Amino acid sequence: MRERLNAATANGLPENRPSTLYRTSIITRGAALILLPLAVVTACKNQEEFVMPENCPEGVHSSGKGSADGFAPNTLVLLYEGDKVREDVQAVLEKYDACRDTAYIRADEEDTSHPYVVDRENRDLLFDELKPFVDGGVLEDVHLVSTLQP
Amino acid sequence: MRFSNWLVKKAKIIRYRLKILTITTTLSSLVFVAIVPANLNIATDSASSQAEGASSAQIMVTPNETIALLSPKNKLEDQSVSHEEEFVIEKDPTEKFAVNRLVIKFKDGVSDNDKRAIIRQFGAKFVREDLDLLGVKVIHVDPARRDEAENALSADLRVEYVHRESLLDKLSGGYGPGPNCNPNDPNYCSGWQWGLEAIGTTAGWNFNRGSNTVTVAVLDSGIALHRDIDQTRLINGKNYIDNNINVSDHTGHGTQVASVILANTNNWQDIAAVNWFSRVLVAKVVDEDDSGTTLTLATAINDVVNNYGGYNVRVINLSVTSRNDIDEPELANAINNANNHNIVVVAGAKHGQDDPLGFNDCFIGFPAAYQNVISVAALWRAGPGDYRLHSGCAQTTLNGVNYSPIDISAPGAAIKTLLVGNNGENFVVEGYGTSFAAPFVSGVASILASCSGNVANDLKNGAVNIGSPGYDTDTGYGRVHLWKALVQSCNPNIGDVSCNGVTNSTDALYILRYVAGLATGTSGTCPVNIPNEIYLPQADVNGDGNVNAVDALFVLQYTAGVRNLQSQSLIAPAVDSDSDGITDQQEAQYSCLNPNLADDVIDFDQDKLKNAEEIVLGSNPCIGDTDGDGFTDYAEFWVGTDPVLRCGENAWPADLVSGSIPDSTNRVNIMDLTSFLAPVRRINTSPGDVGYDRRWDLVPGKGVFSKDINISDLTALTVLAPPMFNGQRAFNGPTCTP
Repeated sequence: MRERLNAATANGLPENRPSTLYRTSIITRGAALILLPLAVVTACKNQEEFVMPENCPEGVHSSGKGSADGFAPNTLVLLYEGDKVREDVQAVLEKYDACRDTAYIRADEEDTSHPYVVDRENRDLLFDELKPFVDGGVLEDVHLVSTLQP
Repeated sequence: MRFSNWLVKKAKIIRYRLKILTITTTLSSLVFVAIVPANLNIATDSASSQAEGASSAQIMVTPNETIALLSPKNKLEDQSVSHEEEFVIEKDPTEKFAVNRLVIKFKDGVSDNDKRAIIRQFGAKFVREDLDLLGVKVIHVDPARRDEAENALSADLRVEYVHRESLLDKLSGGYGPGPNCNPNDPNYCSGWQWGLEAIGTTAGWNFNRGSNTVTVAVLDSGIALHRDIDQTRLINGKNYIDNNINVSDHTGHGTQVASVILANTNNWQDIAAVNWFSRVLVAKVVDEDDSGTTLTLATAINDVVNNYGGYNVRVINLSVTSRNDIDEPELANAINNANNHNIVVVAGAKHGQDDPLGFNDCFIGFPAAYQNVISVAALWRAGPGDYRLHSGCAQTTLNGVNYSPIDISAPGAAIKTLLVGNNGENFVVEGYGTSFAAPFVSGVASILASCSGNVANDLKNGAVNIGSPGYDTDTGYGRVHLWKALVQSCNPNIGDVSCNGVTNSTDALYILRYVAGLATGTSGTCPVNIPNEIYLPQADVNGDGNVNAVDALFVLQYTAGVRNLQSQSLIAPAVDSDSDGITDQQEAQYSCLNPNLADDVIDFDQDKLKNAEEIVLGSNPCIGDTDGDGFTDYAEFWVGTDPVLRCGENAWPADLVSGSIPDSTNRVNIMDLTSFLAPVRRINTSPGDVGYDRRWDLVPGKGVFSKDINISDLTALTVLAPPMFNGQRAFNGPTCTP
């Protein structure tokens, strides 16, 4: 201890008491020993529940072509915050081979829309399976996309 | 009336009228010259002076040639056309003459009742705009009866002459055929682009024709390179359907829409565009197989907003609408994004023409329904000044939620647009619907963007009302109007023809001088050479594309604080019961005026200036010679002296040299006579000649001579006997007593 105090004095700190820096350091290290494992555990748990959805390959994108009902036949839009979806949502998406349309340019960071491309025969099935996630609060919304008319 | 046409007519009329006059005067002059020695020791007796004075009076006052004050039951106003209708001139098949107007001059002595009866045979009406100084009237006739009326009136012994109204240029060239049509694009000059005329481009272009620092984004089906597309202004955007840069137009819709803004203008080819210089970013969001979606559109908007900052995109035109009445957040977010970046989004309302609900009950559609979108309904032209709803759904309630209603209307029927055929042919075709109304608004918005701080508000505030006063659910704030919007948002000094930074009564006088041919006009830039030149863009105070005495009246009312030139409305409690441009308050200042009789057609004191014109000049409309100096108010107006001052160089036409030379002040003497010849030779000159000055043109016009200033003027100077000299001859007479 005496050597430490001497070292502190040599650094210009008062000789008769421990430095504030030294005391803070001890507290920080202690807190880190407790909180770090907790954060790691939490992070690992999140990684298990939220995953990055699969992006569509080049050339695959949302389109209104062939629409019979005024909606894009191959598109659903999911609304959720962030880039990832919960694993169970992803499972549904995978079930119908839906992929995220990367061509969509969002308005800003608060834009939570995520268009997905799906085979036209699966669009309504996918919609039906995703709707409960909206009701359960996992997704903000899921909706079809209207086609445009001049 | 077209200004230049007016000038032509005026010149003809002056020549015609002055033939007899000048012959009379010339005979006097010849006699005078013959009997008076060259030493100018004039000893003409009072009788000859009076005779010459009579000649002079013949110049200035022509009884029965102007319209006397009429009783309410037989006033000409009864047969006048409406203010808006009077300015709409339709072309006949030759495209050289108005099919709905004739110019007529009645012979002296024809009573007003007879005049009305004569034109009534053909259902014609006097055009109130016609504020002629020389007794010529313009009548508005049924186009189907124009030729019949012309033939019959020509044979009528009470009619001096009648002819068709030639269609020449307007202030900025302007709409319709003629050598000075400007812009010179054939469809514009042929009168087929009624939409441009309807939105006030004729007057608006005088102020602003767009800027290449501003870009309009047209998100549609792309573009085909028609020969009349201005590629110097074209910016190729992206294809958001196929995610590439191929914006080829496979439907033609995008090319048609863009051409309303992007056509090469004033290039002698095809059509004119709303703006001449703004750049246009074209992107593709719909295709021939309807593959575009709201998602495509949202992506395009966000990309333009977020990634095209260097182009200064200020307006986005959307002539597309969602097929479903569903509020989708992607589109709403994109619109908000544009608004947050100070970009105005203009969208056509859903057409609704095939909707069984009808225009009032079909939903306006998205994106037009969003509050921060300028939604547009389409108009068609039912007749002169008569614009009616063509298409556009007006219902704004959807599933219990209220959305934003129609904001504004624009031409959307028989709109001349560009189209490229399957084999590359260049067509000009007509477009119908809100798709073609929206780019009119976007074009105006892009011009406003160069000077307005709030384009969206200025678009709405600058619209011209349709139907019942105020906002209407089907047509919004009214017809988009370039000129009015520009005046309100960008030109606080409208009427400042002298370019001194303020609009005042002097500007009114200058305008009237220009109308009478006493000053020239320039459309260049300020400053100008006042009083011989005025700045024309500021002179069309009411934005009708013409410069006439009504503009001068409006300036005068503005100066008096009773008219707002920006809104074109009278300020309460000002009232103009007879809609003659003179408020009742102004009329009350003169005993001879009746607030229920139109003073823009009446010349009470028969001095050849209409009552309204006299008010602008400051002379008394009830007295032919306001200052009693022997020269009528019209004569003083002609030479440029003050009609309300009796004496002095600027008060009396004949006292040409005054003030600084002994024996010359307020007196007509050898100095005045000498000034005809030296130091600058005035005699034998006409406008444009060195030495010509209207002050010396005491007998207006050439008469039988080759030059405007001639022996008649010399005679007039030496023999006139104004009443202020108590009948004495003016030359070498007494000094004027104010």
